[in-house]
This record gives sequence, structure tokens and C-alpha cells, in this order.
Amino acid sequence: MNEKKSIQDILSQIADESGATKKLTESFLRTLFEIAEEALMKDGIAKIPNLGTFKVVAIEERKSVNVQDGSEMIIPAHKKVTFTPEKNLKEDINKPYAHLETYVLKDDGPVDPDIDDNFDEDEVMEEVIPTASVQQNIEKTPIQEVAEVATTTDSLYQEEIQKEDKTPIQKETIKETTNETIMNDKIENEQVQSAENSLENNVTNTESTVQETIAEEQPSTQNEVSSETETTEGVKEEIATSTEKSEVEEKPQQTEVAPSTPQPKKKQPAKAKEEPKSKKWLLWLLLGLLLVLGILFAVKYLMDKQEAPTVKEEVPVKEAPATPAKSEDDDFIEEPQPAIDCFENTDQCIVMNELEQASKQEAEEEEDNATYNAATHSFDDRLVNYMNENHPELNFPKTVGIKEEYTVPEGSRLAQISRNIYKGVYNYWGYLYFFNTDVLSSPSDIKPGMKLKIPDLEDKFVNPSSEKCKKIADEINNKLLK
Amino acid sequence: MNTKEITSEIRKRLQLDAETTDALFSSFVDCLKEELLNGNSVSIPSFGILEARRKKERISINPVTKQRLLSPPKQSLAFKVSAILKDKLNQ
Repeated sequence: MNEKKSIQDILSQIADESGATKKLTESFLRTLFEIAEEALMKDGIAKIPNLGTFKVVAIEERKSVNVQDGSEMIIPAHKKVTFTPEKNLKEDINKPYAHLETYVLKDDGPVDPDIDDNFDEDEVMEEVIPTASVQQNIEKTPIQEVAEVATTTDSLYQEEIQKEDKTPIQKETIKETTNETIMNDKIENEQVQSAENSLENNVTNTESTVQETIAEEQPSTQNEVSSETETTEGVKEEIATSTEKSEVEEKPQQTEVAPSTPQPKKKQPAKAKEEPKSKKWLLWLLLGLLLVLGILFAVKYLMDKQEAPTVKEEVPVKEAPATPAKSEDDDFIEEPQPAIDCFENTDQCIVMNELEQASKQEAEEEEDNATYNAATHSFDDRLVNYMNENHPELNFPKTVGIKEEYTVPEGSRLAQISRNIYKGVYNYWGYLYFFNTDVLSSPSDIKPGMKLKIPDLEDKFVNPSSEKCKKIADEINNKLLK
Repeated sequence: MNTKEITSEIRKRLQLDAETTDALFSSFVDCLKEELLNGNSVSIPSFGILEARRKKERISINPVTKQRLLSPPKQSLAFKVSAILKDKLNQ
């Protein structure tokens, strides 16, 4: 190790390996480097096979400072020899370290949740709230929902396409929703994509059977069908118009159709089977289909969209008067007429069945909600005892309702979740931990995909803007968890 | 002089066939490598010294993305020209 060896020392090894005599090997190596030297003198470059390239490089004269006395001196121009090893040799030499790889260093210091720069609160809030907003949707009356759905779809498309003429009243409603729509622009795009897909699927399923018969009968429906065919081609604007249509159609029907909305998907196949009964019925089917598609899309949209419920509730009221004005502008004014006819038709029994089905489904959903809301869970005794001893005036509850179930996303921690839930305040993670001690053995035991229960705590404990709340939470975190 | 010229020159001078020169070249480099990997330096008289130098790991910064990268330690082959050859070159 670390010996200085001459080429003479390895001569016998080379001779053994090559099978040549020692004498030949010696003369070979001597000649080799003689030639190399000559080549360097003559050409300034010598490439030795398997070893590498020796090159003469001319260095210009430069100024320097004598390290000892600080006086300036000039290093004269000279030549030096550089060596670049052959790729294979270089790699072989580096073999002991070849398995190591460059990796990106994180910023200095421990990564604390509260200095996470990439944290986007809006985005996370959107992840958290869906369950809540869906609940709200279901609690509303069906009519409200339809109107609401219609408006949102409407405004969404109009804003994206900005093609259709808007009546002043419409514009008002759009303004209402514009703020949220802009904020969620990204999500909208995604949803439009998915809606597009679902529309395509649904349309192709039913359309093929329905199309022919209707096309012969009524010119107005022809328009509709053709535009629907275009929809399958995936043109976004076409979808927009067809959804527009369905929306216009549903206005006169609202009261009758509304209750059936929550289960649109299940209705479709049944309808398609019973198709050949009567032509009017067929028309109704088509209209219903369009309506269903519109609602399907809108419900999906609403489920993901995060907006204040108050704003939502205002919308339908304003939308109602807008309807007649809009139908005048619309190319499909004739649609409402046949739609109403359909409802007076003999096939009402089917509608009734569907209504019953839908209301049953609705009832079930409500039941689910009820049980979900009623679920409660207890905090860990340690927390409850601590709170009773140190802050009896707060009257900390042992058992509270479960506000929601939270699925832990990849790479998240309790503090991060607390930030998501309590409007950017990470301090309340202690509460989250003590509410989930049945699944978490320690605060760091958190894994992605875990379902955590979020306590429905009173505002006096988890007020995002109260310093006192934060202080108490910090106290818990420090004293009970360290 | 490139590799071809050097091999043909050495064959001409020593009157060797291609196979032997190839075998000598490869076995020379193999033995050299072995010594270098053992931590020894190999000196070639009146030409220079070849040695493997260990380089420490270092932090480099990507000038475009400003990412801080930790480059691993490595070993590279270094050559130091002998004083004799250097003098000859600078005459």
C-alpha cells in the first residue's frame, strides 16, 4: 500500500500475463515510452492504446507573487504534459466508488412543518372539504340542487368558452361564481376532461339505439342528435352546447325531474332497453339523457369544487328569472315544448317508478349521513386529565363528534394535517394525535393512506387566530408529547 | 501520434506481430491498474509517475437550478511528468 513502484517492479507480472519473455517485455515498455516521448516532442500528443492520451500543453507566462517575500515575479511560459486516461481505465480506477451517486441536498437544518415553503393552503383546503360540501348538497332541496347545478355548469362553460351571448342577468350570476371559478381554474380543466370522457361514454352507449328513430321524426331532435354525435368526437365546445341545451330543457321540468337526479347513472341502462315503446317517449328519453348528463357533470364538478355554501344558495334565486331571457337567446328554444309534452304522456308510470327509486336512494344517503354525523370518539385520557387539571375553566370535552375522516396523503405529518384543517395553524396537531391514539402509537407513527378522525372541537380550543388557543396547544405538545 | 501509429511504430522497431503487441499492451495496463488500485504509484523512468488519487466528496451547485448536489468521493488516475521529460520539452 502506498508504495512507490517502478515499472521494473511489475515487469515480471506483465511478462507472465502476456506470455512474452521478460526481456521482450522490458524492451517493449522501454520502446513504448521512447516512442511516446518522441511523439510528445514532435507532435505534442501521444495516444497509448488502453492507457490514455498524453498531451503537451503550452502555458503562457503569468505574474505571480513570491510566497516568501511577497515580491512580484513572472512565471515564464512553459510546456506541461497532461494525461487523460482512457474511459475504461478511468472507470476501473474509480471502481471502489462507482456505486456512489450524486444526490440532491436538502436545505440546511431540520425541516420543520411551519417553514414548508411549498405549502399551498388553498390546494389543501380543497382536499379536505369535499365530504362537507357533498353533505351540504344533499341536505338542500332537490329543486335547489338542480338549479344550482345548472348555474354552475352554465357559468363554467361560459367563462371557458366565452362564445355564447349572455343576457345581463346571466352575467350577474356569473360574476357571483367567477371568483371561485378562477381560483379553481386548474381543477376545472381536469373536470372538464373527465366530464368529457363520461359524456362520451354515456352518449355512445345510448345514442346508437336511439338516434335512428328520432332522426326520422322530428327536425328539432335531429339537431340535437347531430350535435350529440359531435360530442362523441370529443370537441369541448360541443359538449358545452349540449350541456347548455340540457340545462334549458330541464327548466320547465324542474319540479318533476328534480327528485330523480341523485342517481342518474342507474337510470340510463334501463331506459335504453325499453326504447321502442313510442316515439314521443323516445324524445323524452333523449331529453332525460341530456339532462342526466348535465347533472352528472355538474354534480361531479360540485363535489370537487370548494366554495362557500352561502354563495351557492344565492345563485339559484338569481338564476330563476334568467331562464326565460336565456331561452330567447338560445338556439334551442323549441326544446322545452316537447319536453313538457313528454311528461303528459302515458309513460308516466315509468317516471313514477324512477322517482320512487331515486327517493329511496336519497333516503339511504341521508341515513348514511346521519350515522356519520352521529359518530363520536373520545380523546386520550392523558389529554383529558391534563386539561382538567391545568385548564378546568375550559371544560374540555372527553368525547366529541367526528368532523370528518381524513386520509393521510403521501409525506404528510400531523402538524401538516393540522395546518390543512385549522386554517394554517400547525399547533393543534396534539389534539389530532390524542384523538387518534387508537391508530397512532406515537405522533410520528403516521403513514400515508391512514384514516384519521378529525375531532369536531369547539372554536375556543382550535380558533386559528387566537394566540391563547395556540399557547394551550403548544403546552400540550410540549408537556405531553416530549 | 495516435494509437495506430504508436502500435505500428513499436512493431516496426521490435519486429513483433500484432498479437504479441496487443497482449503486451493489455497486460501492461492490467498490471498497472492492479498496482494503482492497491494504492501504489507506478513510475516510468524518464517519463513520469502514474498514480490513483482519491478525491473527497464535495458539494456542487447546479448554476441553473441552484440545486445543491453532493458529489460522491472518487478516485482518478493522475500523471505527473518527470523532470527529465519536462526539461526536454522546455528546452
